[in-house]
Amino acid sequence: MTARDTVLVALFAALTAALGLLPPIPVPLVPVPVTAQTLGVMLAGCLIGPRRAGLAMLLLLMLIAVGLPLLSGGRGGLAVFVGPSAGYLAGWAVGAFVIGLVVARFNSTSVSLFIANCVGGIAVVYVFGIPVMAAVLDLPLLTAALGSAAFLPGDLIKAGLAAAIAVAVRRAYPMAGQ
Amino acid sequence: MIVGLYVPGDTALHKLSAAVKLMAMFGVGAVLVLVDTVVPLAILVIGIGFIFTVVAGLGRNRLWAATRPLLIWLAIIAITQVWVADKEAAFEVILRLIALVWTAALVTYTTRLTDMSDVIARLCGTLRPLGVSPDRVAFLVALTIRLIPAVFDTVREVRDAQRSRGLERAYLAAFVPVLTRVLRQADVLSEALIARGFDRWDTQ
Repeated sequence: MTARDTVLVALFAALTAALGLLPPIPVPLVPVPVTAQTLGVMLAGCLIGPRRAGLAMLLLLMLIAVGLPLLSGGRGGLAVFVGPSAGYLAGWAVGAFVIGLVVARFNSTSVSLFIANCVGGIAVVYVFGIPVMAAVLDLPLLTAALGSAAFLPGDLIKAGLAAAIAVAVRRAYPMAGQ
Repeated sequence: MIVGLYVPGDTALHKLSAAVKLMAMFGVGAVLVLVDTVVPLAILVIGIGFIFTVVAGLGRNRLWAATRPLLIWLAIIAITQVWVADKEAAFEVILRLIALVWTAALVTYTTRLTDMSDVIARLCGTLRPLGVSPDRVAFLVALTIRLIPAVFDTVREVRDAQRSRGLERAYLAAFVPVLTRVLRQADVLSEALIARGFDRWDTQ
């Protein structure tokens, strides 16, 4: 890990934490408030490559676990890791890594970045999140999946947003991602 | 300034070592999985609530703060109740969840950030064969905590610049300049680290 890797990992962990401190935005027709935090997961995956993005999310989770209130709504501490949404948090690290992998494989047009965000930032995160939620709440898997569908519109908006932002950033700052 | 969730205090729980508290938390978790009747679970919840509010002296407000994020989940359990129709099982899930979350919150509230980080550092030490360096992890933690307010400063500068040009409501327009600035800062920062011999960590 070079000095630059170290800085980028810390920076995207900090950026995702900072996004969590923004107030949640209520979106019309979406039943749950949309928080900006998963935007950080997607931006990391789109901009700094799989390894660094995954490590940045792991670092953020570690900071949350030791007792910093860095999750949206000022949540943090060990409690969030024993609650129903623990799987989603674990999914962030893997999801950011997967986005990075997909982005590295294809050219970075906004469409391919959007697909990468949907695969890593939504599908992978849900694959980790839904079974854990079903287990903790003792719900059938299908019910848990249907419950998570409430977050889908917001997540799709964020996937598109993150793709558009990442394309513009890559254009403005071509060093990004190397 | 980022402030941790630790609540200063002088109780027996505050004095207990972080590792012991973490082990106890896992112990409580194991017990909770094994207990599957409502009454003992309810007694456990009351007991943990008593330790939380009285023994650790954290008060009812913090107990409520620890419970509040669960309300949406409790609502989901209540709603699915309509077609699951096993009230006893639903109560068990709710009680188990509350007990576990209170226990975890209790550990976080009574353990200093530095003590918790020490445990993490020790865990990272055991991962050394996999190429994890505890020093580097410690450095990453310190750097991240320092960078969070720096990111906010950048956001404020960009927003101020945009506002002066009449872009008060363009919340999304801020993202791209903030990210490019932040990436440029990363270059400056990594050059500063290299100038101080930081990159030699690679060869160790």
